[in-house]
Amino acid sequence: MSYGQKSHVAICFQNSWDVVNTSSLHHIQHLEESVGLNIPPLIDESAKGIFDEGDSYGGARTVDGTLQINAKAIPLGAMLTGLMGAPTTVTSGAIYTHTFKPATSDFDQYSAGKPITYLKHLDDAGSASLFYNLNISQVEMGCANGEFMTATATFVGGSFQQIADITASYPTGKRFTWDSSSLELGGAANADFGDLNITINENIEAMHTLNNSAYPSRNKRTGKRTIEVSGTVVFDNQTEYQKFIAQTEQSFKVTFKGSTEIQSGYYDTITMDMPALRYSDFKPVAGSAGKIEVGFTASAKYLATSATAIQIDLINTQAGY
Amino acid sequence: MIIKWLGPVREIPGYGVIETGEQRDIPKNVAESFIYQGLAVAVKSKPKPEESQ
Repeated sequence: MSYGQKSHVAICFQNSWDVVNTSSLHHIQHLEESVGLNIPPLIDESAKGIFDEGDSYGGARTVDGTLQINAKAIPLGAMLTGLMGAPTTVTSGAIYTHTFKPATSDFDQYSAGKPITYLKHLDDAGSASLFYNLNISQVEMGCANGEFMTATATFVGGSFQQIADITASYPTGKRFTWDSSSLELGGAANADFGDLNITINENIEAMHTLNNSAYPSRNKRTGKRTIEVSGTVVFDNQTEYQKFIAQTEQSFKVTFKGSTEIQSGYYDTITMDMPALRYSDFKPVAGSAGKIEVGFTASAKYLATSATAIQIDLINTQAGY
Repeated sequence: MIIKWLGPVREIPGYGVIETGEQRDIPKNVAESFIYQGLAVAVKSKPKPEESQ
């Protein structure tokens, strides 16, 4: 009998395309995960006088799926490294501040993002699944009041093999929760948001070529990067509504701070700083009885003076990614 | 098998939290997996007196 709660997953950054790496795994406690191998059938459509469908062959293989966690500072950094590339890191004693900015170039000609090896073992006494040549195409971070901050990474690309399991070990530390969050809009603190989601989408997809393999030969960008912010805001006043009407672009900063010190005066912290947030949807509706909350969507725009659309600063005890 | 933990502080499910530099006696298959990952090294135990004669 195998149990989901006994399963474990890990990611490891490859040094190059097509070269599996399991030597420095980041084991990540998962809420849900769905990374797996797809083998769509390639069916012969030619006719030969019968009603039955033709022969089946294995089609173009891909690996995709998501990994969702209740966010902790160290594994969250691994997810962001997969999405945005290695951060710049500043050290102060045992504290490391990792600064992530969206990539300005591809990893190499084969891989848009940092290629990743993904290990999954399902406590079934069998081999572990090892997916490699993956990219993280999207990370969604969110939090609702009363809940943990969550992060969901979407994996694409991929090749596959099976190996003996590798034992897990996990970073210690506490998770980020809603009551440790704070928001700033236009440089001023704001306590009107009920829940929040920030989705960074690199729009990367697997690409097959005639390379004597059923697996993708590349992971390439198929669209522009987008950063979407959505959630709900309490409609106590028209401040944000007027910004939607005027299509004002304003800075937006979200901070989550851990609940326990990791060194005297320091806490696990993540700060997401978007210099130019612009509402694309903000429709107050009367609805039924009760407090009016407005659902909104907005996008973080690239600001030339900041040379980025988002900067994420992550403070933790992880020396590097 | 006794290992010395080289990695950062980590929780090993079923075996507790292990600190950098700490030595711990854990099952051989688990120990070897951590040695493979570069998180630990095997600690050679001193031979017993009768073995050294």
